[in-house]
Amino acid sequence: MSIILALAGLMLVFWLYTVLFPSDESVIKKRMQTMARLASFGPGEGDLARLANVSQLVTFFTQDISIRFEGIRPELQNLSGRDTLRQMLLMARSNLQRMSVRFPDIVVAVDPDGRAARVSLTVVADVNAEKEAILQELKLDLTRAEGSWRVSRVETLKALDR
Amino acid sequence: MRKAGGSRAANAPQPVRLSGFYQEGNDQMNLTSTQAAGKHWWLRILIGRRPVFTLIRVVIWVAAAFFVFRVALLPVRVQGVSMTPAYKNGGVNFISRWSYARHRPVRGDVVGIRFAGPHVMLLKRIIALPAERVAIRQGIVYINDQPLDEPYVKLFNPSWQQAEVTLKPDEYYVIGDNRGMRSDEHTHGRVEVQRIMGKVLF
Repeated sequence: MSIILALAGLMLVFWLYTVLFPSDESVIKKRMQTMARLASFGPGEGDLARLANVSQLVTFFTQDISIRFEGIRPELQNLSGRDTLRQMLLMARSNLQRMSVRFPDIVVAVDPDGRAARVSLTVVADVNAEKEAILQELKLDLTRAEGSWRVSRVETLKALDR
Repeated sequence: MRKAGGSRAANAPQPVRLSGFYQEGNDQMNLTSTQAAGKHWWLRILIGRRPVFTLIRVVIWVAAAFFVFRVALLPVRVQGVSMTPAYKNGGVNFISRWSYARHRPVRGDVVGIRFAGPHVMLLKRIIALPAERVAIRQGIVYINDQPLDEPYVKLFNPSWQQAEVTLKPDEYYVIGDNRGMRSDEHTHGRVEVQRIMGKVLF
């Protein structure tokens, strides 16, 4: 019984340690999940809520964020800058009724010096009442900026190529 | 001959301790065990007569389940209609991760194609193999300029067009069975062999 109690105590200490001092990987994964939550919205989102959510979402990106999308209109393929991103997000949210975003697979690789990281993730987005969800693999570069991990580059990857 | 210290008191039935109950005499032992069993029947069901063996059984079952459902087979739930009618929206299937351990995928196989991780996959059918030329004209698939017989295609849309592409040595061409959809609503194309997670079993 004492061995079981000791093991339980050790596990509790380890769990507390991971909660109090999370690894960079955990912090990044948590930030990604928060981004997914902020990117989601329902049909009843008001103008103020929309502005607040988008403003909060763009703080997860660096000022000079660079985004490269493949397979969409040429004028939207390359975006750069936080302000451009904010405008694009506001426009998208005003044109859609609802969107639910999830990142079910997040793979994080932190550089040995701990100042940069690369993330691969799958975006699953249910838009409006479409039967088929939008699936997209993304590659993100993150840097430690302004005191936290921020996305500095986003690139779409295609699972299938025509 | 009696042993030292032998007496009437020493020959009297000794107290029997059983499952937390303290009774005197063997006559009462069966009654006590019945009472104990009656009181702790749920424990008996939960951990069995021998807790150590039960624990070993649990460990073996957990390991077997982990091996089957994480290493050998991947359970998938189909979302969407692109593989209709063979695989319907909401259906549950299994992908064998070892199907291609000994041989490469073949034409007609339905495979799982991964994105960034194992939790989201595309379910598609292989129609063209590495180094082949594939094109779609008026809804009909051509492999090396020969029309492909596709008995699994029940829904058809002649508006599908795809310019001819030549596959690289590590590429396959995958497509869904539901060709009644609009082509731009249907994900199909070339996929690298590393993205193929395995073959759908049933």
